[in-house]
Amino acid sequence: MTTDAAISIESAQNVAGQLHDIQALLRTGFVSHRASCYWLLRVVDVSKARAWLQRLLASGLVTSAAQVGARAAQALPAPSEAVALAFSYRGLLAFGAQEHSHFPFPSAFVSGLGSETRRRLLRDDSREQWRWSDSPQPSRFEAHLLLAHYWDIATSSNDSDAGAALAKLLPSAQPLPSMQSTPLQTLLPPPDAADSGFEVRRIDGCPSYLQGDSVTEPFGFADGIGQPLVEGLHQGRIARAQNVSGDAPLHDRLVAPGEFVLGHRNQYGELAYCPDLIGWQAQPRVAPFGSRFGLNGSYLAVRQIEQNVAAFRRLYDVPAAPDIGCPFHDLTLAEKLLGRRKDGQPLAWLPQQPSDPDAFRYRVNDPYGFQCPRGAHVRRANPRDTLGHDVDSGIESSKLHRLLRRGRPYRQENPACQQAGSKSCGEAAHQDNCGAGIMFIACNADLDRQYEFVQQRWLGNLKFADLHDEDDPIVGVASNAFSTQGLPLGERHSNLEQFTQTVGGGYFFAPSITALHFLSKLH
Amino acid sequence: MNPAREQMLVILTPNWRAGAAPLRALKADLDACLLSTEGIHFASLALLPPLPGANSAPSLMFEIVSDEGFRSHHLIELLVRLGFEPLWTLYGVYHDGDAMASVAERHVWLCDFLCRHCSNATGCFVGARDRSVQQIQQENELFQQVQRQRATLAARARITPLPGSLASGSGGNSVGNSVSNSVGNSVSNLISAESLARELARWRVCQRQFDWAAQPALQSYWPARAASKKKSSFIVAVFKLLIGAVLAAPLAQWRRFERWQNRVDPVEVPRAQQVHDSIDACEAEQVAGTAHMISLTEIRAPYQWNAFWLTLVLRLIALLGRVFATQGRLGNAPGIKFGHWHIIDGNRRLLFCSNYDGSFGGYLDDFINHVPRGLNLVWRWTELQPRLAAVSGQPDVAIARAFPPTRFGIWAGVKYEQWFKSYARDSMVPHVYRFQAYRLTLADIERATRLRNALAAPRNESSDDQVLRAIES
Repeated sequence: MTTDAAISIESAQNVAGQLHDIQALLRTGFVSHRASCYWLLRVVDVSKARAWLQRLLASGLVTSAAQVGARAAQALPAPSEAVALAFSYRGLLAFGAQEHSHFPFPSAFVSGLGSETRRRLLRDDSREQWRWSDSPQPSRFEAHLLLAHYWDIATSSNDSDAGAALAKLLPSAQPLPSMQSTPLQTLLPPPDAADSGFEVRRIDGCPSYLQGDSVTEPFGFADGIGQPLVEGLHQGRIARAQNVSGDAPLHDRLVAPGEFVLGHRNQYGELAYCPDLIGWQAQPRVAPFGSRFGLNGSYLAVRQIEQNVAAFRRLYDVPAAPDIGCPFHDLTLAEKLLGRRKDGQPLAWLPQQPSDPDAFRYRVNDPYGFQCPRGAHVRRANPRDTLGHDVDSGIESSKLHRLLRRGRPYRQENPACQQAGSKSCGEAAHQDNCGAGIMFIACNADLDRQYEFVQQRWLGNLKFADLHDEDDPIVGVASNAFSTQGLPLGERHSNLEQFTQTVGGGYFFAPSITALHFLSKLH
Repeated sequence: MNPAREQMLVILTPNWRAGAAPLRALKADLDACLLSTEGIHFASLALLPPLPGANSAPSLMFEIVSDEGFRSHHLIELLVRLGFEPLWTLYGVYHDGDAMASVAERHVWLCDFLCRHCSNATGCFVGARDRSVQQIQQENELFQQVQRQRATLAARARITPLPGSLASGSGGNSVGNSVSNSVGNSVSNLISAESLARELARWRVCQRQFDWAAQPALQSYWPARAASKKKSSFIVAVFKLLIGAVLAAPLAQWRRFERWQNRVDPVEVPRAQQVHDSIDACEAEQVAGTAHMISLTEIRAPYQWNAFWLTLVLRLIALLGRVFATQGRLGNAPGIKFGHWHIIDGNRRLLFCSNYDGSFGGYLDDFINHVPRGLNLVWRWTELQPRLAAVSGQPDVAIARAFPPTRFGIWAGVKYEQWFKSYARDSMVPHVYRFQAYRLTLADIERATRLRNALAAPRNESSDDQVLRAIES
């Protein structure tokens, strides 16, 4: 075996010591920053684009993991506006990056989610309706950069917001909703479309779906519950989960940092593979010894998923057929499809309420799927202990395919909604009218083993968990059937409508803060 | 010979100079030929790169997986009889005899040529045990028909309108269970699930085309039956408990020892997570069917010595797989239908072909986590030397790779995930042609057999439940 350098166990990176270099998105979903939008940028003038990146970095908007989280909150106020920045493979090339021949980017990332090969591998249907992607295709906007932009909404009556700083840096046909003055504006040059070096598209988030610490998705279900707890990144949440639910359920969710952050230990005990760029090793920097460009970065699998809310709402009043001996007659078919109650409580735990809605096992609590159907969305997306030959092997196997989800609802593009949003979007009453879908973002360190596996083998698999010709009832496209298991016999629902449709997507790489500075100075 | 080894063969012919295009052009004819044998599960054609350093053309590999019981030369004779034209198009280029030879003479030559270049598996594993192609197809047909009959019976019994149909707004064909929604837990007066199972069993008896299913499927191994467990005596249970108590501590120590031996030292693996476009294309083509891989590695020097030990290991795996791995899993790795190893090129190379359910990455994860020792035992004798691509558009090996280091031959090794996966990915060769007699997973095959057996069994609560469980999705 030819290896460039053997790294001793002792020198393996400690993620907690690298928080200043890791983008904050890996640590938080910025739920407290209720307003958000996603900028898709295509580089048209690389020198201007680099200058823009330098201005952006100098503004301090790109937030590190050290600036968020419980420990940071005690010491400093959370930033009122934050940005996460990620590049597609072609975006990196557009910035002048050249791969190291021995440490190239993974094939999946290079190929891009928008490619025809990925479409077939991920069991997607036709992509005629896609509006944008990470690879050049006719009639689609090609996104080189993705900026996830979050800012605080003040709840006061004057509707003033912090956080239009980034907008001053980007050309945009329309002003950001609910944006007025910001303290950071004075630090930044005025917006100038001609000078930006980019073509821009914008997808607006919808703050109506974020209330307090909870996120609701446009179908009306609590979202973002089943998240992995990453060692070194989520120490506060890990401690809380341990207090609430104990060691065993905590172990099920505890995942090594290298599953999400490149260069750190993964579930196999190895350091996650780091791609490298030519010139990285030569530049003076403060990055750790032996590091490569990819260190402290992460891959983002992004899908803009449009939701057919009207169709799904028709299932709200449809009761799921009860089983003999099962006293829960108030479940609706919508809840069976999702696999959770609307408030996020897991069906597998009925009738008790678990101490933590993410602390349960299917094989232990509901092995046959009588409560949470075997093909339900949440059971496919994270089967927990379902698929192994025993509980432990199932848990360990699932941990190899976890995703850190950072998506949130985006709003419709129709003028009425935009207008409503500019005045009062942010109120729960506007949820029904504004939400168009989910901007799904999944962080992972190995696209093949994590995101693509989940999409291909769990969500899109017509034969998942011994089922017959049915894929995910929410995001699947190959079948319109869904079966609920029951005693003495379950039932199969055919001709279900398609509840979601992907309209754009791409693979992006969120580099470390150091790597962003390197990119901004590339020649 | 272990019958499983005879099920899987490759015909390897050297110096193929015609490229890949003629192979693709034969697809329709080869499909018809292989289908007409009614005994071939899977087949593929691929071009294997020449030995590293050799200045020769690639070899043409024809992989065939057949029913148990076929002798190789009988199978080849059958293939030549049913598909002489496409096979002659393939192999006629090797014929240097009389150009005016009669068809009968060509038949004889072709059979002789293919038999000379045919090799049975050195080691193998069969997941779908004791099932012929015909049985798999017939049982699947029974499963499909029973599903339809279930829908018909439920509709005839005036099932209360159900959620699926409301959701679709088109009066969908949801099949109801036995509970009336309007009266809480009371058993429905429409149709009970037990009677549904019995109706289905009666219906099966009336269908002459399913007469073959009157008997349960034959199995050549001793099945692990739940019923026999129930009959275990109290004394046996106590004995097992005592043995368990005595062995608990040593087993825990052993597991700790294994964990220690399986530890991995972090190393940087160059060119990790790389997949050649042609391999991606093959995987995408098979994503809804049975996945397929071909791996070609070089045996480390000294070849003869290492090949000897490797042969022993592969024969042992074939034997253990035959005797112990009877439940469709190799160790605890699920989803492998047929996997076979061949030592080729005068003990210089190891060829591995596998037909499995799932993605390649997931397949390797299963191997790493569930059969690491067996995997180490096989591949530790191999390495990847730089080699040319068989033809343009297929992967070469630009930089040599070694198999990850093992401890005592069986530990660590594949536990170096990135290293092992990169090794496996780099060793892969794409197929140019592929034949599948059926597109069913192992779970589909097992379920259809379960349904057949449950319908054929005497009617009781247990067999009724097995029928209902089999058709619940």
